[in-house]
Amino acid sequence: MIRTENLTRRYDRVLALEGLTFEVHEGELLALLGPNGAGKTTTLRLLLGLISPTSGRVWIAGELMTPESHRLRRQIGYLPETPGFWERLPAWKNLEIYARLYGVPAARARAMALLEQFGLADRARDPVATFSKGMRQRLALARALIHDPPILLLDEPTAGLDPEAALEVRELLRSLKGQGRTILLSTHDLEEAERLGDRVAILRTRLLALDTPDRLRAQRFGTMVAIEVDGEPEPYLSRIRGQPGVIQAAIRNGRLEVQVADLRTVTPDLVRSLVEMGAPILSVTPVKASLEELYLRIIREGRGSAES
Amino acid sequence: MSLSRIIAVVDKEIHDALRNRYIAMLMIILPLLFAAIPIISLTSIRQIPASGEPSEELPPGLARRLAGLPPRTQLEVFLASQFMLLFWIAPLAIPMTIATYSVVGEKREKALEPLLATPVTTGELLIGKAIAAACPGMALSWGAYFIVVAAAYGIHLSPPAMETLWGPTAWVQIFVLGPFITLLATLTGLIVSSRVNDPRLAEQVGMIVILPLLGLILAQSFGILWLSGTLLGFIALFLLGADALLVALAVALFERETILTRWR
Repeated sequence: MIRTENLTRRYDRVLALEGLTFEVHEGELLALLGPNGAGKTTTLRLLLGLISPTSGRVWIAGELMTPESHRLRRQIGYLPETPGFWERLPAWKNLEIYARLYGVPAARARAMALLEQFGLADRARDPVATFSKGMRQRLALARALIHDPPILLLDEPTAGLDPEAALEVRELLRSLKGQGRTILLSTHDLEEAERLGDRVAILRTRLLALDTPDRLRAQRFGTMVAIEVDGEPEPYLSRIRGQPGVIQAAIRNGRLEVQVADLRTVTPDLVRSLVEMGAPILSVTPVKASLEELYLRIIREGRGSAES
Repeated sequence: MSLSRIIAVVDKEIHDALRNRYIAMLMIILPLLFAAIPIISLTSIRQIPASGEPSEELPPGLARRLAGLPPRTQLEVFLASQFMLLFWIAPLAIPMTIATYSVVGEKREKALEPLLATPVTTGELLIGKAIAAACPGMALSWGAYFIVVAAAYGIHLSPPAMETLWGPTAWVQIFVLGPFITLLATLTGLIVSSRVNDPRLAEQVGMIVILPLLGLILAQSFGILWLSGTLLGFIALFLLGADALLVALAVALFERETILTRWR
């Protein structure tokens, strides 16, 4: 549904994005992660044809996107980093104008229906200037959906929202994903990316990683299991290291952390060996590196390779 | 080019302008001012004798053109012709304010990026903005003009002066040249607005368009030129060409990328 090929963008001497090639499949939610200035917003603007690439190409629904592809923009709903409304106009008028720009029939009815759907119907006639940040974000989502687009490009939709408002927006995103829309979600919120994203892309001028969080974990950290024993774990460490299927083992936080080739086949043998050694096992837990750990490792690796 | 998208932009701009207190205030005060000045001036010269020797205070060039008319009529014709020029300027202030604010203001409200992400083209956007900026000023200027004409009838202005205010030449000035000049000013405002990121600076630079008009007023008041039907026709043709050129220029100079990525 979305495809880029070797997308590069420079702003004068500053390289904002380099050689980005990726694809977002129909009905998929891809979370775009990266530090500030990583090129996330630039990527979204390139996908929309708001700016042109220094080199590379973008295809939306199989068609080449350029700054002149005005008709192709009907396929996309966009929520920019700062929602940006006509502050003096009422909420319904903001949406109605957008509906007309997209050629939506019965524009006013569509605007009112969306305001109802997003819980803003009672404030429909109020100027947007009087809206809270959470309400603005909901209104911005309603605006992105005004023409019922199959593709959504969302730039940090929960940034700066209080936890309750952020949760509301996440619920909305979940339901949009459930409707089969293709979504590219730029976010700093790793938990949000993990909960909502089918895959995550980690960007730092270049694309550093792109896959499901679990596969990225397995690639970077392997599969880990933590074993807690009653007493000192030290005596068991050297013997565990020699077990078949154990890649490495260490003691962290007073427990054994073992990286294994395969959790299902190696863990039972490992536990059996420990019991045979007389280890008083208290618990055996698979360890899942947090997305934060994964993200930081990938970003550091990326920084290291860029510096080298 | 989609008419429905242009109309949507016009609708948005007019709704937005009407909710701007500064513009709303201008829309009330300026037409009143532009109607009051001619009415007060034309009324105040009623004490000059209707007949007698021609005035020697008029500039020689002007006196020649108005030779043979009684002094009060001379003055009435002179004032009426000057006020016609005032009605060229009258519709400019409001459109200029709306136009200069429209791009810079939208950028400041961060409302331009989602707008540019829609299928609207630069041409549609700028034409919509220009029409929306020009219309209120034109409507109010015409309103003020009709009030002045009604008042002129009321105070029994002399027939030559009345003809200057309400006749084919006057109609060309008000209904042809007025809109052309307004569009010229509006487009200038839009061009400046899309090149600078301060609405006040945009307004000040855009006001440059008024200078040639002030020159015309001065030239006519000193009798250097007289706006005859032929001259007005030439001016109309010139303005039409200038407007077409400015539309093309405005579209060419509206750099979406620069506005989105460089302005802060």
